[in-house]
Amino acid sequence: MRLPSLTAFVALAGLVVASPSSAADYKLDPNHTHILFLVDHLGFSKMIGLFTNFTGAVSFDPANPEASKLNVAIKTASLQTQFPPRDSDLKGADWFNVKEFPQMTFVGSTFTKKDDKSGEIVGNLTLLGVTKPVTLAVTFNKAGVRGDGANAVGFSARGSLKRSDFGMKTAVPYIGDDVDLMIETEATK
Amino acid sequence: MELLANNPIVPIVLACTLSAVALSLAAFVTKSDFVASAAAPAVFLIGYYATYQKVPPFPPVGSTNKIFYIALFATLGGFVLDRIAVGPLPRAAASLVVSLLAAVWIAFAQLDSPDADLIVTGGAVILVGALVLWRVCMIAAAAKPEGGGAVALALLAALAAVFAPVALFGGSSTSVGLCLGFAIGLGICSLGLMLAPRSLGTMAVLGAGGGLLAVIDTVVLITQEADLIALALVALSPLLGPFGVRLLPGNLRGSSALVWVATGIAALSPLPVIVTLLFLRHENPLAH
Repeated sequence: MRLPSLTAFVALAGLVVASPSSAADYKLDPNHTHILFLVDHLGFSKMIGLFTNFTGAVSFDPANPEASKLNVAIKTASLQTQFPPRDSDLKGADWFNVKEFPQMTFVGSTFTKKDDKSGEIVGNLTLLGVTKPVTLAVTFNKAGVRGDGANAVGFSARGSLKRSDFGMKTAVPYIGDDVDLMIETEATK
Repeated sequence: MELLANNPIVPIVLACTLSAVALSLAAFVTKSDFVASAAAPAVFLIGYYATYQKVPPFPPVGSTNKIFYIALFATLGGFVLDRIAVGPLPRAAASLVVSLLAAVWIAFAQLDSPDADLIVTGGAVILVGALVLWRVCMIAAAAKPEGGGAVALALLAALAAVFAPVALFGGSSTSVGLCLGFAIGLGICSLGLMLAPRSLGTMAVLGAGGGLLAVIDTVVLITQEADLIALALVALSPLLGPFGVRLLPGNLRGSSALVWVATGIAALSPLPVIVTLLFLRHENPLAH
């Protein structure tokens, strides 16, 4: 089934009032999903890191985004920062501790629609064995059929957290406590 | 000044230095065995707090949180041993127990599916750690000038210093600050005991040495990026310390100051070799 554009979908949903809308299930496309974080380095710049190994499932109905579901699991050992010695350090016991905590997860719990293109996800992030709520501001970019024939939805998400909330207090304030999250993702059926 | 202000190691070194000066003065003024023996573990715990900026919750989750409680429990165990005034054998057993439990607790999450590397390096760290703790315990309790608290703490200070570059190149730049701060703090405590010689209780060695072993266990068994050749050279440090004293002419071995200096230099002697080796074998982590 081809996924209609958001506008058409909303219009259709409006016409068929009596019909319950149904969410479609998607999986994160690892080739078109980028999970980045930015953290202050001594006030000089923001260091960028990214995770390259993750899985995720999205259940999304543009007509009823509040009923969405989201589960993402990230392999912490896939962390990259463009400098291997720093990667080793960040994967070590003092930071992400990937041997003892090989995975971090984000499970969406509350999905709030602001307008047709944007909304907010509040979910539980589990990192280093600590689970805390994190809020992501989400932009719904597009739904449709890609050039490769895949039914896809695309989102951009931004958020922030304090790493000290998760027990990662190493080198605060030299390395910033506030971590900005930048996520660009496409999910396919 | 800006270089210092932007260096996260500075507050750790300051905390360890100031606490070591204060505790050494307190031990000197009060002439209390308890204060003298508690100083080294206290410097470690203060250094830990300055490094990780927390007293970890109990029960601790994650190896770096366990370091704090290993040092604390080893200190309390040593305190009990000192109260019941045990001999050499129980001290040896306590050294083995501290080294074994520290490594097992630190590596607990890995024990479900231990690989060959973990078993070999874990076994080596436990055995060498126990031998070092036991030997330093005996030296701490021995009569001056070839033994006593000054020499024992100098050996632990040197061990912390020679391990610091292994931690830096082994994926734990955070441990570098703790090791350097602890080495300086212990050096100050050791200097205080050289000026006012006395033996030290088991509490000093098990607490301070147990904490340091827990740091080494974390880098070696959890981060698992430590250079094993450099690590073997680190293990030589506590052996070379007493050997340095043997190089002194017999008529000079009666001087506490000369014994202290010879022990310290000999125990630190692997450091330049370790640093050279690490720079030759690994990418420079100081570039970040």
